Amino acid sequence: MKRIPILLFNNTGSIICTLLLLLSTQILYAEQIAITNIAFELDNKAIKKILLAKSSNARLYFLKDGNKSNQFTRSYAGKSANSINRKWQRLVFSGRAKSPVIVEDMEEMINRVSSDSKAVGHIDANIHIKSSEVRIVK
Amino acid sequence: MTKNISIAIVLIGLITLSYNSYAFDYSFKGFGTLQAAINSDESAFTGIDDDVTFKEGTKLAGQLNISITDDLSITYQGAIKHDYLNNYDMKYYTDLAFISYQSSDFLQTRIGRLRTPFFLNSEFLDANYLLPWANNPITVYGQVPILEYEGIDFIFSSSINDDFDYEIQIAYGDGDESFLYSNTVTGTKDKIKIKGKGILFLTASLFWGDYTLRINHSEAEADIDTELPFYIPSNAFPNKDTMTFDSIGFKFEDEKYLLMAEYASRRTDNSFFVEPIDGYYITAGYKYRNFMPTLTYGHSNTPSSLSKDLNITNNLSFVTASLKWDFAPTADVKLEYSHYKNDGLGENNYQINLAPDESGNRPEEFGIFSISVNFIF
Repeated sequence: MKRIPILLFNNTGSIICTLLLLLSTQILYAEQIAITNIAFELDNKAIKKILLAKSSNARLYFLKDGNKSNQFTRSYAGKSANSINRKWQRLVFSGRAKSPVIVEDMEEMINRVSSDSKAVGHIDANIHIKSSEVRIVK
Repeated sequence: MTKNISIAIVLIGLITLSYNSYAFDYSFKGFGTLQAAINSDESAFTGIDDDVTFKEGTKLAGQLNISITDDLSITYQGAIKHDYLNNYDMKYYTDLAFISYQSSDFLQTRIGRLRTPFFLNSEFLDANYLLPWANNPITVYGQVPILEYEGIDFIFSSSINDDFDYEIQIAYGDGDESFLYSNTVTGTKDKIKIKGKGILFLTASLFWGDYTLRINHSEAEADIDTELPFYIPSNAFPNKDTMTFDSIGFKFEDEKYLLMAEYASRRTDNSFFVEPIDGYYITAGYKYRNFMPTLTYGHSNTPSSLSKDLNITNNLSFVTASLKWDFAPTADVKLEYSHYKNDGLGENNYQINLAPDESGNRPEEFGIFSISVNFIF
């Protein structure tokens, strides 16, 4: 008799913990996908090359949320956002590239990418894009 | 061309822009360093003696980039630094002033005032936050005094296959720089302006994952803009003579390790005071959280020269231990100690401003300790 409530507590606790964990995972690690301006047709390899600063003919847009920009750079180039930013700053202060731009949120990201023909940015995979000026990189 | 022409090019671009109703985009960036340094010896080495100085290395720079169209832009970079030629007074410098045109994914053309691309880190050498050291390895970076030039460059970049990318940079222009020459006859330091006319830079870089391999050959017609005293022979300094620089650089950098090495060689025809020099350095670092300790060894010598004929070996070597602490996303503190061994005159590098002490001797060994705060914004 004594074990039942304990088991119930354990099961309920486990379920709640699992749900919280799933929820937090969704919040912290929502998959980031690359987007570009509609005029800028790139594939995953080209995105990686740009992130690694091997091609400077683009402008990078990062979300202010460091976890999301990290998730983006790690999944496309295998590097932290800080390390990517440092590579780009070397190009910027050599006068070879435009500085990466930090944007506040998804809405600003989509607006900026849609109005810059050389833009490369990232958004949550589950966001629906209404702008016809933005391309999702597949 | 002169610096004024570069600034004029940028101004023409801005005037064109003001007549253009196209909504332009601009960004303002910058970098800076606050550095304190002290020498274990009273002799001044690159301006650092046995009193703590903030003047060597401290700087503040701003960079304005204006996009006229998606492919055409103007860049201007100005910096306040200490002028070692004039008692370390603060001076404003124009380091970059150019128009850039990206004609395709593969080709970027820039015209105006640009940084000389002699070595691996030459084009962002002042932005110390982006470098592992507080003070650049003198055995390579000390070989060339000319840091900017007025001219044009073409940067071709493309891929060989999925793994290998390459870049070819061809640049041409004129540049000049003044430096102090320790006159052993008068005991004074004379200001000498060296001019590089028609400098041709040929650079090829190969990229593979985290590896970079870079080679450069540069040559120029070198001349000096100073009237020499009668007792200095005319072939002491370059007089429309050819000066060449060759270098090879290697870098591996991932999230944990840094390995970087460069070898550079300078030759001057018919000029025995500007001696030939071969130098190299190797830097190894390990990144742990926000810290990166590095160890650097460098060496330079004059292979065949007046010094050698006079049995002056003129070897310079150093070991540097440096600790970089990234205390903020775009700022670091660098703590650095370099131990130098100077076996000879020590004048074969331009950056070495190794003044004799009161007894007229130059130190054979000395140490430089420095602490700096470096940032970009």
